[in-house]
Amino acid sequence: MHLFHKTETQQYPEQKPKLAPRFRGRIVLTRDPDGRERCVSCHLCSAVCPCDCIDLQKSAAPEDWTPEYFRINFSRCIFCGFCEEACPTSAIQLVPDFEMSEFSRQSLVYEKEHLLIAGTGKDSGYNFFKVAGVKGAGAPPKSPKSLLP
Amino acid sequence: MRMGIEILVDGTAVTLRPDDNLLAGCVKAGIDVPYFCWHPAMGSVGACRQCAVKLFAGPADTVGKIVMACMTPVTAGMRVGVAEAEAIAAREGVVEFVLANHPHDCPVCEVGGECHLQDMTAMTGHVSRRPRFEKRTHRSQDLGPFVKHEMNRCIGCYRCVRFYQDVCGGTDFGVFGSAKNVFFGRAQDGALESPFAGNLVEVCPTGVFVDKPFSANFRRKWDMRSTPSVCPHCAVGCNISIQERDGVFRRAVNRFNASLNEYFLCDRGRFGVGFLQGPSRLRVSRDRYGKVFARHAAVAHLAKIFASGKAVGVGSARASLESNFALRRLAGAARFYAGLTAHEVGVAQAALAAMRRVSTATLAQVARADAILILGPDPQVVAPRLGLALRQAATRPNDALLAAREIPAWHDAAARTAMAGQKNPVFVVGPAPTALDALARLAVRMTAEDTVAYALEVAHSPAGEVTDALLTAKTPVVVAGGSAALIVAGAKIVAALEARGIKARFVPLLAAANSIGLACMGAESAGSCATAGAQMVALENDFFGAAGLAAAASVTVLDHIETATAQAADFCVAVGSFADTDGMFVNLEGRAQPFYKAIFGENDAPAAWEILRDAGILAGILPPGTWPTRAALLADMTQEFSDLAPCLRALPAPGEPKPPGLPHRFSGRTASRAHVDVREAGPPMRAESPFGTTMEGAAQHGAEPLVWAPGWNSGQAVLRMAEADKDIFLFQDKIPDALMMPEPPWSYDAGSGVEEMSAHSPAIIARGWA
Ligand code: SF4
Ligand code: SF4
Ligand code: SF4
Ligand code: SF4
Ligand code: FES
Repeated sequence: MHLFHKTETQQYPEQKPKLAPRFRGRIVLTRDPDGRERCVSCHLCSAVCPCDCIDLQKSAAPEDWTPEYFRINFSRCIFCGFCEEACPTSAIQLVPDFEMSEFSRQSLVYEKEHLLIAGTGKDSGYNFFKVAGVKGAGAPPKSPKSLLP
Repeated sequence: MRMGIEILVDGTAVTLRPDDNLLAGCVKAGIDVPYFCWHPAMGSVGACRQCAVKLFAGPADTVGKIVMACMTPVTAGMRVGVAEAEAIAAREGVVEFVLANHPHDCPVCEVGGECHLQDMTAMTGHVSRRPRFEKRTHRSQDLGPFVKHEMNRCIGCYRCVRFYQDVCGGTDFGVFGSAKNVFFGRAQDGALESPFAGNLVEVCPTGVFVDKPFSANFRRKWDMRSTPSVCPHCAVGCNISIQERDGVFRRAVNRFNASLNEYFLCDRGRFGVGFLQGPSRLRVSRDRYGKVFARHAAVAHLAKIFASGKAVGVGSARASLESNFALRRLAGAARFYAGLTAHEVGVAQAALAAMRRVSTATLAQVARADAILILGPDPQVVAPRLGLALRQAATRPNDALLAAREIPAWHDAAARTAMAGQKNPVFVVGPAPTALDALARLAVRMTAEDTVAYALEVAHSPAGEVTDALLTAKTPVVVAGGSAALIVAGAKIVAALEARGIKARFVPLLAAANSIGLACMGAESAGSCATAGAQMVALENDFFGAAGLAAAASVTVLDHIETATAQAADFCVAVGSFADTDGMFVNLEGRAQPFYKAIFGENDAPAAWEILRDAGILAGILPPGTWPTRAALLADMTQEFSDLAPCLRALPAPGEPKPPGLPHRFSGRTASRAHVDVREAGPPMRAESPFGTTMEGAAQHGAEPLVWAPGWNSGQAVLRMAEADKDIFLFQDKIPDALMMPEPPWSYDAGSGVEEMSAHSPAIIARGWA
């Protein structure tokens, strides 16, 4: 029956395909609504990655959780989207872009400067630190010297 | 199976140890009961209410009652319900309260992935939060260069204060506030004073206390290679695990050894290992003008020195048995000296002579001793973990008293209350105050010479308070150090007690990790070697210092840190540290302990013995093909020194399955070197190691280098792991002439507590301990 269907062939690359926002293509690192890097080096994306192609290192500064480096080896990535699902900060997102061909595999190794974009990506309002409760997101600090409960 | 008590848990019969409480027994038997405030080394206080289980009065009881498992003794035939609906609901309710104020910040918490709170929350099945109010917050403190404080994560279990005050005797840390506003910290910001403060990182079930240098070099637990090792910073030789990734040292954590350090390390050990990543590592071989030499050129240089026949080897009390032996073989026994002062050599030789004659105590035996005599310097300064074991013995509830009042030993609060106002028979005699004085029944100050005379008097005359206490004790321990004469006198006391059928034991106080190992090879102090025209080869020691050795023709140093000696030397050969190589130390209990290559970098220096072997073969001193493996060298060494023969037991049996070296969830393997080369290099291969180098291997539960069990990601997983029983004790056959040992002169040196390698650790320097 397929014989009688209208042909689905598209004239790519002259004619670009329409891709939904949920399309799992090239991976980016996004920023929170205040423009700060979202990634907090929690290593959940690298842990969940089935091909182990994400590696990163937390910054050495004590209170800074942004990554010192963040590397994705796209020659290994299978675009499963697990990293995006695991990310607690919405930092890592897959975007509708699959045009990543290169002449050498080495060029498929992306560092943080290649991954980081200026915007928030799909999750526009989310700021992890506003909900995490570690940096003053609760009630004002209690004084330990007060005996009031 | 050990003698046990059979009970019914959820209808299944399990056998528990009679000295465990119900919680400890269940957890060890593989039954998941969540808990927070109970700690295997600190006992129960019943504070957190997390370990609720159902206890039934008898077979006919269908209602039962909720009890705290950690406060319930195990009695024969008792019927317990862990999976009872009511108990499950109670435990989930408790965890919900516990989490009411806990931040939602596991992603930015260093403890995430190895957090006892995460494990316990998952164990109770609690998943969603109901409270909608704002969480209480605290201001965290600066607790110094070792420990980071994030007080918002506290769940109020009180483990930290119990550890800091009750176990370590610290006074500068405590709990403030009341009701739901309790704060665990110091009165003001400032470095924690206790030399055991670093254990808070592992004692706290949450991320309130974090290893600060580790935070600057952070990786998740599942992402690091973890290798069993031995702390090289004093003669106790506490068991540690070294965790690394990408050839970079990340942190040292406690490795449980039931008869040695158990659950705790000292801060010199935990943070001293940071020297591995410090700025003063000696990583390339060079001459005095800074010209860099490759390995073969350094070997050729050494070969020339040894071939000249003028080589004098200076061994080291912080280098492995293997490297010392190799140097001794190359230089010749008559031209092999120890990089120690004559006083230090005398002390180590006296300790060795004592160990060959009287029983030595393990640290666990020290902690359970019922009478203690300390002669000489402060053990907490020289060998800190021994100081902690002595403190545990001093504050330990008295068995007879507990039995009379029917208090089980794990019932921490009751046992401490029963002990209030009483002091165990601990006696401190020496020239200077010690950290244990306040706990001692008697602390006497007298000169070193008088201390020796006093100790000999105790050994020979059965009268006086101290002698009486030692004579009425069942397992007394004598600790002595600082002077060869004091060690001999201490050993004589033990011998006199042993002669009366008392199980007395001795501990010599020594400073360096392999003091006893080097003493076994019997070298004189390098201070006494005739140096004119000699070509000195100094192995991993800083004996000559910046002044060098004027009379020597040349000084060549083999080391892995930039010591003053290395900087003044004519030639430096970079060799691997204890974390870059395999080797063995002998500790102050006479325990021979292997350590393994833990850091896998790109250009790791080989072990000193490998360089020396190559030089020896090149110089024609060793026949070609000598010591192809460490096993071959050990075989040679044990032949020459029969004392060391048991060391061979540390070698893995051929064909023994190798447990994996990497955690099963190790990540990022196809990216970590991709910036250098997108094609992945193969894993490092090491035929000799008892561990695999990859994630693959024979997973023998309990033998893995990583402390982990299903559902147990924190260090508490150790309760679920099989107890490794591979300890090797030397000097088991005693020479029965202890009372006739010659008495050496009484020269005395208390030791500074500063150790060469840890003094290069950035954290130790920041703390002002270098
Ligand atoms: S999961 Fe998200 S926040 Fe965590 S390391 Fe990956 S990108 Fe960063
Ligand atoms: S202490 Fe445990 S539960 Fe709390 S934030 Fe850290 S990892 Fe998460
Ligand atoms: S700081 Fe940690 S150990 Fe201390 S009470 Fe809080 S959770 Fe418990
Ligand atoms: S007591 Fe000694 S061996 Fe143990 S951790 Fe401290 S320095 Fe290391
Ligand atoms: S562990 Fe039993 S009450 Fe805390």
